[in-house]
Amino acid sequence: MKIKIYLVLFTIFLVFFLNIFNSNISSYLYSKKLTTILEGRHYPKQFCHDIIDFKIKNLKTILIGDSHSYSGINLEKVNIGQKGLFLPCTLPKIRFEDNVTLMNYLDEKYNPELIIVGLSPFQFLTEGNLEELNRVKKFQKLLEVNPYSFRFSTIKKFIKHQFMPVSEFQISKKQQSFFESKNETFFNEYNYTIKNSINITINKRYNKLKINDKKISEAIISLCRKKNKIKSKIVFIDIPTPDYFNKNLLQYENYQTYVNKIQNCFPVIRVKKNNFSFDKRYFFDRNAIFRFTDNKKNNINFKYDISHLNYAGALKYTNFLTKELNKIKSN
Amino acid sequence: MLFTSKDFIFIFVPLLILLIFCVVKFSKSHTLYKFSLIFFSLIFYGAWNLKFLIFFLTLVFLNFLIINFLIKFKIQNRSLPSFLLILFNLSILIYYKYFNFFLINLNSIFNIDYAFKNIILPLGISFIILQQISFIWTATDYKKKINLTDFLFFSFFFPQIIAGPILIYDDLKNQLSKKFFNMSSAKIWQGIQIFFIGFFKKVFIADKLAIWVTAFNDSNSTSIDYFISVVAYGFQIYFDFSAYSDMAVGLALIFGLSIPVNFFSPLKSKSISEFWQRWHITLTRFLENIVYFPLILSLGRFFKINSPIKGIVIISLTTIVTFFASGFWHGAGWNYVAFGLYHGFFVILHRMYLFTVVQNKQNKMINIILPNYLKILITNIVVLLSWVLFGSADLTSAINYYQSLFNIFDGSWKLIFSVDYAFRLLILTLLFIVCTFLPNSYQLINYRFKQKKYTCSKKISNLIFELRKKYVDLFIIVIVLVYWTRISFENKAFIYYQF
Repeated sequence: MKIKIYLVLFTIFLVFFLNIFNSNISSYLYSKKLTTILEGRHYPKQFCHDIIDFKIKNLKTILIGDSHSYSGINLEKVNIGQKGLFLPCTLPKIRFEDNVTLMNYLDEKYNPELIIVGLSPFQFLTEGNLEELNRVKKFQKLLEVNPYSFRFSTIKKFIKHQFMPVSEFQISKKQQSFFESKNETFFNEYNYTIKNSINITINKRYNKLKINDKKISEAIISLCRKKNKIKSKIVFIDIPTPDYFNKNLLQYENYQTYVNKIQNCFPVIRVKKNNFSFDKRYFFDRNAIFRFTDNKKNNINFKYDISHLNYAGALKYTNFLTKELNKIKSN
Repeated sequence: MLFTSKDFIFIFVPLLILLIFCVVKFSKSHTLYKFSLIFFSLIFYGAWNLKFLIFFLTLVFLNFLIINFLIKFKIQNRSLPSFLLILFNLSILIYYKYFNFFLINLNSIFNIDYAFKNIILPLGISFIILQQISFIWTATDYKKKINLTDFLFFSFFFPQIIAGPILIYDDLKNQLSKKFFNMSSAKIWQGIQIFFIGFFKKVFIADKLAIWVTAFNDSNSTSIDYFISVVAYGFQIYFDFSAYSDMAVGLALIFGLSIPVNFFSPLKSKSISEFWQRWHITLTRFLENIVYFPLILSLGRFFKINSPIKGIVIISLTTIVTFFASGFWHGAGWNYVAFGLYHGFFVILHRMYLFTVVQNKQNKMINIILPNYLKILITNIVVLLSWVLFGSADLTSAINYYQSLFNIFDGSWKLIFSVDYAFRLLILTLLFIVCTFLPNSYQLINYRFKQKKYTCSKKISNLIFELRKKYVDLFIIVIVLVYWTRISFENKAFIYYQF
């Protein structure tokens, strides 16, 4: 009987102490790059909670933004050969104002070498009152600091990685080879998924959303004014979106105007300006992980994503971004 | 702090255990042991709201001083002051819980427009006040002064402060004087087991069932949705509340105390009267002692029972009043009152049936003996229909619910064979079988409270014994604990917290 009691108590105390030292353990696992990077695409908020809750050592670069940011970067690639740690702190559907707030917050807390702020048109769009409130609430919840919240995501990732290591880089390579093995007809077969997405997501949803021009312009002006107060190097990135998205989104021109305004104060890495073309294949089969890992789920239908890069696209964009960042750093 | 929250299990409990361990091992002082538990009980309540903790501490001190003052007087002289003290305690409950309800009704009756007050309902007020009242009621007979530590312990003991079981002082009196409450490793293991049985019931059954309870808030539901919702709600409320009681009993046992059982397989009841002897047992005990028996005695004396009919009328009247109080205690709404009256009506019906059977022993037509399974089924159907009243926002919503539920020709029942509905019905049927055929939590751990020992059949006892020998109980507990820690559950409050 006593052994049983001790074992249950041992389990409870183990969690108790794990929670107390979670911050140190997580920080160590991150600094040694022992966790699987891939989780960023599937559980984007986990990294951000860890970055906000704990004090992670050796964190040199932070990528912030929305779903386009965590889909657009191959974290494994970007961390290879780098001494410092590169982590994302992203929140799906984040608003532009909140993205800026997050930037300031992380600058204060970590003072990293570089903060990369991912931009996307959706950040500038205003949804209905309830949805907007939800966006604000989610962001506020993200900023709640609680290092003792029993959120063991890093430890879980580490353990999972020991038993089921998954390489984001390898998946990207496999997807690339897969694309190379297919001819144009294969990709054209799924063009109908683009039409569906344009109809359902862009025309019926995004195009009905509004832009609060005054508020955004003020936010950009305020951001530019505070430029000198920011200690870290700030770089904005305009993550590539496919042509079928850019052409059909009514607010795309407005978005470009805002990016231009930001560019007046901060460096912005833009794909078009650098004459870097993306074809629609890089938006095809975003859930490729299910095809190229051991947990194969071949019943997943192929389709084009409305605006997010897939693994191969993210790798291509990461290669490009790394070069551009190096140029900026050397300047 | 919820029993199923990580803060409770992985912070509150380890810290308390560390303290208790130090007290038992090094100080060996029983008073310090009690103080430690009182201190942590105050933290437990204070973590929710410090202001209300101070408020209830003041009330408890006041009750303590007045009762100890009254003990100096002869028993017959204490009745009126005790009664006034009960009224005072009751008035606190009425203010916090029923003030706005009375205002709504006054406004609607007299067509006036008094503004509502923004009153925050203190957590567990219904249970705390009832326990204080029960204490004042029984203290009128006490000859010795009450010990302050014991009274604080009785009033604030954290496992039961928020949602019962509603204790009477006699439940703890003898145990409180025993060193460390006769704590033993056997008791601790029993406590851990029943705590995790409750934990499993709450997190893995009750909270999961909540997803199926949709029709109370969705006016577009169909008859089959209404049916599934009410059945799921019935099970949800049972697993939720009985889970809390199991966890309370378990926690008390871990610290050496036995407290009364609050749920004893209510779905096995063969009548509504029996149902209330198995469902929220300590509330029934309270209402019997404070409302039913005093009222029936007073009415009996006043009207002088000299015929069976007069007796039936008085019993029926008292039953209705008691169930009215029970319904009203559950919530400030006419639907809760209707819930109480509904049960009262069926209890009277059952008693009349028993009376008729006794009166007409020779009449074979009346004396039909129903098989037990049919009695259980009928009782459960009656109870099931009452959950509509309990779960609805108000009486009008409940009536609409009944209308939609019984609109069985709306074509929705064709969906019964679809995978989704068939799956839900299968799970609900399995739960019904589990609740009606298998032994309950207390029988599984051979719980003992006072002279009563809860056991299950020899076969099952032997099986459990063998499983325990192979550490299966430990294995299940650790798996449940680790699995729950691994995944992130949203902590849902216990349903009875709102009462």
